[in-house]
Amino acid sequence: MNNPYLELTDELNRGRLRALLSSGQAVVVHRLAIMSKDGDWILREDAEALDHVLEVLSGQGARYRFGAPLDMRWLAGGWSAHLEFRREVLRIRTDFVTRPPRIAPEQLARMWEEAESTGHDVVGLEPLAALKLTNRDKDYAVVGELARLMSAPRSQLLYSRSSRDLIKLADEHPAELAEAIRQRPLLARIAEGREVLEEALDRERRVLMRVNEDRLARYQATAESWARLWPAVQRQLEGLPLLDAHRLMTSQAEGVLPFEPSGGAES
Amino acid sequence: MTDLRDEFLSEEDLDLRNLPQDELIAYWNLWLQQAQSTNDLDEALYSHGVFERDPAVAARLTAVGLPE
Repeated sequence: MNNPYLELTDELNRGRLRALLSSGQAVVVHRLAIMSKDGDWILREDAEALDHVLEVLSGQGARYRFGAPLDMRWLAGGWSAHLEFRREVLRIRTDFVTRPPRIAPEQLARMWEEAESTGHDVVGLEPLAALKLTNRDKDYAVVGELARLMSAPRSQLLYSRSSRDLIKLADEHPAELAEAIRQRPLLARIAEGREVLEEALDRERRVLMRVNEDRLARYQATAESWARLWPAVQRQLEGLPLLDAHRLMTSQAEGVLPFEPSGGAES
Repeated sequence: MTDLRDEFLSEEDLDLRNLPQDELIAYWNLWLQQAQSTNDLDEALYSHGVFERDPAVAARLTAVGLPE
């Protein structure tokens, strides 16, 4: 027995590692919780990888949803591409990025190196926790449990959402704490006790949520013209094989959807 | 005495780690099947990426007098 998202990940990676299963389905692979019915992958930002993904999805009868074309010029600007198909009773949604948010370029390069060396095509605990620092409250519960699975105390200090865990970690690993404070200022409040630390954790969560909201708002604003055009574009795409639809969608998006959001892309 | 710990997810969620692989896959697949019941409700919405709402779905709903 297999799972549609694991099978699809295998197909995307046939012959070469091109895709890392991410977000909600990766959380399941890490055996924490089942919270999402959609699939999300980080792709290699090269033409062979994107062509292969389109071929696999074409074989599944996938169609484009509103989003950016699966094309390096947009993906390099942080945009996401979204496709969907049916497999028996399931609606399979496939969401793709090559520049995941909150992952620095050097960390992304390390993720690919690690996946190549281990053969594990699922986003690891630490980058997955970074990806889950979204504007959705429920994701912070997942981050809290992901941190508990991390083996390095420094990683736990960077992602833990538990005041009790942080106080214990600080007590047992003072050197790692001193190092981690530079990346997570909240850790400097540990010595002030649980109540102060919990307030700081709440404040940190609210700030992270607003930062992600602002990031999404920049993409929404940049995509306004594309959104207005999309209902007509979608009508033109209806019934076309995916590879033809991709070419048409790309030509329609050129000049309407900027390659980068206003203010520039950011990791 | 057991030390208290901050709880983030339910016991049921955390119990996934105790399932053998084939049972995890079976439970995961069953969950996905049951989750299809909300497909109409989330047709326009996005779980990942930088888009939040499909404007074509919103336009279609508006055309038939339904809320977006």
